Amino acid sequence: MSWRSELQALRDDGFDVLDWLSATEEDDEVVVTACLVRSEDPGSFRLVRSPAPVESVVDMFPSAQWHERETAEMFGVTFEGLNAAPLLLPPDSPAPLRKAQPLPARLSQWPGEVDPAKPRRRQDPPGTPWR
Amino acid sequence: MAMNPRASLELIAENCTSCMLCIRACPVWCLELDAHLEVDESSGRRRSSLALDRFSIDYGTCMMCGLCVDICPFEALEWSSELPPTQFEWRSE
Repeated sequence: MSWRSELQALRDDGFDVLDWLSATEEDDEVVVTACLVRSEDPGSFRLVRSPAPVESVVDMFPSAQWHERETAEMFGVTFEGLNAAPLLLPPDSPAPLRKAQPLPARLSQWPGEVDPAKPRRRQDPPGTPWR
Repeated sequence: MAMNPRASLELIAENCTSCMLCIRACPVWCLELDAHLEVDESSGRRRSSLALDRFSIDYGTCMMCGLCVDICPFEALEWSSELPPTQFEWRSE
């Protein structure tokens, strides 16, 4: 079942509010996640997940536009049928939330690199694979 | 104003062994430490220990996660209710 038809089915089922939409980078693919809420019972929600690229659902949920544009520029994924004009970032900037994109603060020297007990042994910071 | 018991970090320098655990645990790299190896041969046996020279906390980047306080095995870092300066620096005499 495609992303669009899955959301359409939930909307027909009464989950008529798009609460949230974003993406996560998992292994080698970007997964888009949306959270739908039932307006009659705000406590009940459904999560829909699909690997990118997916189709835009702006015609179905107008509130999805901001989230889709933000996800498109932050993760560099495309939403088919969306006019993904830049929202926050300057044009031609790389997708900052992708794991391959180094955090500028992490390009400085790691304060834990030197071991004062064994001055010749150097350590690498955890979680920075590009170093 | 209500006191925040976790407003800043306090270094208890005499407990610090310069083991670097807090520096490496910090997720935002806001801690820095300098130390040197001190060798004591007065007792006939060679004993070496690390002496702390400098310890600094950049409160501009610190996000008050408390991982350094949790990881310290010697209780050299504690929570304090003092309001934090922008930059804390401790130097040995």
